[in-house]
Amino acid sequence: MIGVFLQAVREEFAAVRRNEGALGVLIGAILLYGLLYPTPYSQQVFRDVPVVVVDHDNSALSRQLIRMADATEMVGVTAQLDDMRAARDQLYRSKVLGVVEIPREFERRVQRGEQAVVGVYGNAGYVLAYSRIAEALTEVTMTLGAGVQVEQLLAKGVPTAHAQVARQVLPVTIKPLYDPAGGYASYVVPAVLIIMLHQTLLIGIGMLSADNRHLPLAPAAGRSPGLWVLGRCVPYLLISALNSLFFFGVIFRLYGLPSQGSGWMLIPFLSLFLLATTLFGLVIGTIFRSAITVGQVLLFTSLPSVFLAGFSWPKEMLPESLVWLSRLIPNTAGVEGFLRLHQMGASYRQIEWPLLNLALLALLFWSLARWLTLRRVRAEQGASPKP
Amino acid sequence: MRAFLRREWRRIREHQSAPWLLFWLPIIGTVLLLWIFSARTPHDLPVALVDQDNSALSREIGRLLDAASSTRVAAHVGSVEEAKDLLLRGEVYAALVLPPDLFKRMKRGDPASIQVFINQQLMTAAGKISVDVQSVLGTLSARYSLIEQAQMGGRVVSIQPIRAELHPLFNPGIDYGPFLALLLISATLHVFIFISATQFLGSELLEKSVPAWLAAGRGGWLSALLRKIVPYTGWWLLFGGLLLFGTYRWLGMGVPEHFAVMLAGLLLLVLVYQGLALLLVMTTANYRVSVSLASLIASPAVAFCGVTFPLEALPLGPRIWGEMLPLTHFVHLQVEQALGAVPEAASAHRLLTLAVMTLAFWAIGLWRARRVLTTPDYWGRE
Repeated sequence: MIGVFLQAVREEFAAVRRNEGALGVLIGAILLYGLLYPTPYSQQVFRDVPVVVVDHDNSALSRQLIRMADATEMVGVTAQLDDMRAARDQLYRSKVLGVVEIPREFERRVQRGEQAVVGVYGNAGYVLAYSRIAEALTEVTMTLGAGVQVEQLLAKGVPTAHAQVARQVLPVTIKPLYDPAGGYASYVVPAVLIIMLHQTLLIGIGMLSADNRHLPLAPAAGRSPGLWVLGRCVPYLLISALNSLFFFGVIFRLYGLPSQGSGWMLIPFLSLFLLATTLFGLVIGTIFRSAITVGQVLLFTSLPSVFLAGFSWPKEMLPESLVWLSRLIPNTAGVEGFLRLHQMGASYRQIEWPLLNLALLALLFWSLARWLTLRRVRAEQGASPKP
Repeated sequence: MRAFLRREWRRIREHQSAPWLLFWLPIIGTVLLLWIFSARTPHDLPVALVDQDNSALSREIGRLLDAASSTRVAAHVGSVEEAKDLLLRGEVYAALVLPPDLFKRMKRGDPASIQVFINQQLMTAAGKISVDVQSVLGTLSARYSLIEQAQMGGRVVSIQPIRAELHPLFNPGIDYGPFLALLLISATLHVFIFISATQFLGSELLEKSVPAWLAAGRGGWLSALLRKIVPYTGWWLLFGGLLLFGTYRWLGMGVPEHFAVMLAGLLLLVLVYQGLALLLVMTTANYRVSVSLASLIASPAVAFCGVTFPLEALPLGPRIWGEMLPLTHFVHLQVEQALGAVPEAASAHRLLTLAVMTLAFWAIGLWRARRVLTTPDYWGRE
């Protein structure tokens, strides 16, 4: 029995070693994408989204507003223009992503105790950039306004402490957890690394299966198909283990990505995830006849799988049937569990559902792969009957 | 010409992947993405309320949070620990902690701070929740402040002397459909235009079917090359156009005001990537290498094109790469023309850039093609 297992391991290793394409994907692609993919986000925060200001007031207060806006990390004032038409033109030409319009009589209205409204026009076609502009200007106007309020109260003879309080009777403290710096890389990269492990495994195994589909299966496979399937998994698990080490040891450190859990804690979870993915790959691999096709088809699934994983587009927003379908792919539970375990510091108890999901998938795909192997052995024996 | 079409049709039928690349995958991808983003904008995200105050104020806060579009109070828990457990289990995105005596202390003038724990790892949700929570509590705070100031006597000082009035242009509902779904659909389309062209050209070299190809009509290698590619140009213009304009329709974006500009953009998108495919195949003369390179260029393109993460914010290297990708210029054109209604002149430079790239890729590709298509040595390489 063990013999079958070991033979499967041996043969699969040999097959992998022989196939440069698959090796290229399993190892080369990981190295390349792992190093290159995080580079756009390596600066973590995107600073200084460009805006222009149209100041119709030219007062001390309006100039203070402009200074404060420029001082924020999120927004950068590239120019001050005379009229809205020029500003709008820059917006349309995408030279800037926002326009801040300070109305005439801005300072005077505030001094009179009336509300002054600052117009903030942002290109919401670029949602993330827009939200930065919105956040920054909201913060600046509220801070400046608060300062004005305190001054006005003090001018009325209200004691300082009281003045501060009157301004904000329900003080709020926002505490961002797990990624306090709010970096874009720490938001995107960890999840994408898991997706990369998943996709490269599927593509690599698929390519190999496609290339070898004309080779006869060893008769041993027919004796213990279950163990045969498990044996076939071993080379892939070993390669992915090395890849994982590269990701979580090297890439994380290189890009300064934060994490709550220790690397070693990941091992049980990652092993289950990689096992489920490998078994999934063995099942999927039987579908393809050409190695090149594998690459194209699976590559196309990469984008949707990012948005099914729930880290950028909330899972609650997915149609329910789609949520259930996505659970059939190890990627979904893999990203979910990994982020909670490694980025957020959850315990194994707290990721029981993703764990269960992965375990069930592993069982499902193992059974399927076993059945497919058996079917193939029978077909081959039928085609060339033993004497 | 008909001979070429017949030949091409035969090749499509013979290669298993062709119908998938040309038709099935783009359509499945488009439908899948539209399905994923059908909720359009994140709303009613579950949050936890730790109510240690149990007053009229805390109940009002709960009601207001439920009413806010992005949040929904999914759990009332007694302690911060329980809330943190829910956060780690992924059952809530945020937890508000209302400390004991919140209402009483507020009236006394000795306010206790409300802590809002937000899961920043899931950044999209965190951003929405943060804005809505601050807005709810800010409005409530202003109302109570007004009451208090009135009670203090004298003229009430303005509650919010300076207000930022936000005008989200081109996408007033901050709708993720036109923003993200459309971007991803465009990216998916470009992948198939590019990969299919690379594969169809490359396979002719690999299978050494070049002589048959050239012999299909009169005229030399150039006319044979063009007659092979043009049907696909037509196909992608038609089919790609249907997918894109159908998506605009589906998302409620309507027909772009400057329809011709958008159509020109689509045509250039197709031509530029066919040109790049030609360049890759003819310079490498190696099927696997050219297809791998095409995949390498096309698949991460979305990250570099500057729609989700602005080009201005990219470090220099990635920024240069992003500007070099034709997709980048197309999607920005699309944001301007299909999403917004920017005057044509403002988008002209995008069309110009695409046109220049198209000419450059085709020029190099054709120059190499002349050698490769007439020299059998280059064929059959993998």
